[in-house]
Amino acid sequence: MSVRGRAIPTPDSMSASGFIPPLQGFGSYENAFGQLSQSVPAWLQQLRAAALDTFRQLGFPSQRLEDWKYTDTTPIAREVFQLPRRPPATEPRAELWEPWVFSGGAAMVFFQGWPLPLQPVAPPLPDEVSLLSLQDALAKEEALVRGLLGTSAPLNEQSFTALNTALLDEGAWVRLAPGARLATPIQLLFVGGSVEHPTILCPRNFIVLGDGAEATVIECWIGESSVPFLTNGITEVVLGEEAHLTHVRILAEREAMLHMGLTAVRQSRGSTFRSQVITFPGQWTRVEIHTRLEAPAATALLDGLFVANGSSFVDHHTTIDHAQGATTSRQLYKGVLNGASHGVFNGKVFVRPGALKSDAQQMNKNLLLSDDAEIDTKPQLEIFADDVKCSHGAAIGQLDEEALFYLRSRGVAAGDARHMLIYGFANEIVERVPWENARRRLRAALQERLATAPPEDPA
Amino acid sequence: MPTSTAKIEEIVSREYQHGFYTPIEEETVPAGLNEDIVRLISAKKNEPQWLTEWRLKAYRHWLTMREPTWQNVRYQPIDYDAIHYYSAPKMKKQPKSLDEVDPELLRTYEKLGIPLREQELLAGVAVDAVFDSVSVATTFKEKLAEHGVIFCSFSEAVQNYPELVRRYLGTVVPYSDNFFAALNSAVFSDGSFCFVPKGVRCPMELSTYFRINAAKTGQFERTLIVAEEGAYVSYLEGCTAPMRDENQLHAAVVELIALEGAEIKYSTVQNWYPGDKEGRGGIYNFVTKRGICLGRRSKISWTQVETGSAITWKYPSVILRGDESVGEFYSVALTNHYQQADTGTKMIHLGRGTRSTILSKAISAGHGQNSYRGLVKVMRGAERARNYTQCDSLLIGDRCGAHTFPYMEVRNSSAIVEHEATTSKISEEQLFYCQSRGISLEDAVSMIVSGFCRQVFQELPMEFAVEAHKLMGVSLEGAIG
Repeated sequence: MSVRGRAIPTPDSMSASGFIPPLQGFGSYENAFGQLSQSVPAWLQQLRAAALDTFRQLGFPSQRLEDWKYTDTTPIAREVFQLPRRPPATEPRAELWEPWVFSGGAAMVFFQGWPLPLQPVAPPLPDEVSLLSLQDALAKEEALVRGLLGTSAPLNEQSFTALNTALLDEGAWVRLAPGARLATPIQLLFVGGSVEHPTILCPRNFIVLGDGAEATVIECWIGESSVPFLTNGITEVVLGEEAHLTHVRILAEREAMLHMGLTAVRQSRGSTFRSQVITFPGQWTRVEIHTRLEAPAATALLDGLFVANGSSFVDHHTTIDHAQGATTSRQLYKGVLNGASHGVFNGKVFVRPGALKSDAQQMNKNLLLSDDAEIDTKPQLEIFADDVKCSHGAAIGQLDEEALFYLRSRGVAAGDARHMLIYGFANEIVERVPWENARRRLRAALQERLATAPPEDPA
Repeated sequence: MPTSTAKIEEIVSREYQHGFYTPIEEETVPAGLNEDIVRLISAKKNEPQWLTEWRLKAYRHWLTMREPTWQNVRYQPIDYDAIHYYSAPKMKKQPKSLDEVDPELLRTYEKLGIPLREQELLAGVAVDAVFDSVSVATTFKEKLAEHGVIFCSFSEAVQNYPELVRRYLGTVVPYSDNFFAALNSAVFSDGSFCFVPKGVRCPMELSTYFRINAAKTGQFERTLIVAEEGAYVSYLEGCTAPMRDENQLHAAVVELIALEGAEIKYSTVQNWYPGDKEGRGGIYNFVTKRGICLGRRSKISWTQVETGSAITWKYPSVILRGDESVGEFYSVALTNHYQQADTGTKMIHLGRGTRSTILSKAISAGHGQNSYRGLVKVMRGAERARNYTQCDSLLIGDRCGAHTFPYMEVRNSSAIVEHEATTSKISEEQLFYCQSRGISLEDAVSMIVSGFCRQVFQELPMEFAVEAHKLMGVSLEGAIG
């Protein structure tokens, strides 16, 4: 027996075992596959079929897999999902979604994954910017779509990616030609729920920035549902050299909303991916961000906030792959857990062999406000190069007694003081969102979520 | 910097100095494992029926288990049928004093720099020397006996204190705990047993030297330490092994039990054969070490310096059951050439006001891969539990790796859990801090590097701290920067 250098793991490497089949079998997924519109290019139909095969081989990840150690997929695996009707049978109530269109710029609104014909409320986009539904993009820019699909989120042993690809039909296509710069954010709003049967939706979005392009894209996922409504969405992002993207991902769901969301990013030299993830989860939520820093001087800045009440499960996974040297990453994720909620944070930083001068920092802070709540956090570093600067930290605790005392000594009631401190803790992330209208909406949502489960007043 | 890096690489690539082989006639059972071998081991050790049954239960459970694969180390599959599960130096009778011990054996220890006599006379350390599997010499027994401290080989304990062994064996690490613990429970050959009665402060540091000698011999030690109410004991474990081209499996189990107000300090310096520069040979060090703080205000402290073994894979852990009990873990792990380490700790907080501290220092050089993996778990009833974890990695050379996998699971809202980790050649922040205090760059580098391991070394008893410095083989001071 001899021991040689070990194989270098890839971020998406998974062992062959550790998957569970859907508890009611694959039939409903095969039916859904059969119901998809066939009026797509042949290559796409082949890709869907191959992905369905992969999904049939894998099933859903079980907790035996390291990446799913704290994440129970049973709430998904036990359901028999259908695809939503095409086009949707109803219209969404305007009061549900209109408050979430706030940027003043271009916007696309999807209801149950179907693009709504909106009157343009913003000045038209310049020619070098495409904002299309995926089906329109396939009609107008098929070669581009084909060249990009699956490059950031490859079809491999990731169950949910396979399932998304198998049931892929709609999504948003955002493309900026080299040098294009948008001053106002583009908004993508996804309204889910309002269904009678357990429903699955697999939207696939693309954000493609040419060299030197700059944009802010705000993705909002909202909805409420009394029956399970699973969104299994993927956003593929490709950033050209010196391209700068700010990507705000807001999730404000309620009740039986299940959400599996992946943002998969490839970054070229000098590009910046600035991500802000703010999650107010429904029943079950997992948000993953994978970014691959493929060339020097690429930078990833990841901020996150999750505020969970009731019996919500909320999981954030980040993977930053320093594939090349002289790349930088920063992460700050914060969690507030109340009621009987269960939060998970797993941040991975890979520094590949030879990726010298990589600089990675990661921090995860959590406020645990109830003894029925649970937080599992796993910040993780895998470093294969020596001349690097990497650090991570994690903290779990409660409100600072001294800060509480200070506020009370100034005449603030105990409950108010607690509320102020919790709000202040969470709001740090909201204030990093670079658009005042978005911040205003988020502050209101944050107040609302914190008020839903009033913080306990200590005796 | 290049010269200093070259200097380090020269020092760390020195040949293993303890790689000699002692030609002693050995008694070995046939390779492979089945119920008969388990019974044979038990019979050779003249064990009571319940222990034989326990071994067999462990063996049957082991058969149902699969070798784990989640670890961050890679090795060729182990052929469990090629291992000799029992190997003992042949002796006419059990030695009553050092004079009766095989002189070859004593010379072996002298080469390692731990002459028993010298230790007996000068250091005042009682040594329970384990040569392969059977304990060959135990010193200072009488002096310990005066205080009521029992310190003997595990086999003797089974013969002389069966009720104590039976009460505590497997209570911290049950035979079903994991694949390697089950294997150990089935075939363990010897080890150390220590019992410190109520209110006794053990008058000296207890020390065991483990040694793997015969080729193709797995070593399955079992250590059990019990500290009764208010007792204190400091236990030292040191390990060296001769050079071998084949990998050898070492799957030991260590159980610590601290009752109310008791304190156990367990220190390890592990320098088994790490394999050669190409990664051939070396020990697989797959050990289960766990302590339980059963009583209020009890304390268990693990300190380890891991410089040897081809693969080190272990997590000395503490279950903090008693209210206000304390768990500590201090570790320095060095991997060089093709060595791999996946080590860390688990702190399980059950009692109120429990506290734990984790301090891990990892140094990687050559093609070495070093992982810290630690779990801090705060259960619902562990009010005001507190944990602080710090893991630092130092990388030397661009082909090695340093990895950190901390797990924090918290279910109590009054708990505070903090984790910090850094990986670097040397921390810029620390340099800046020192310089801002008026310390020159060179002095700052020197301070930081020597400080990198010092926090852990200072937890070691004096004799071990000296040896640990020697074993690191590298004076990090002034070497990096």
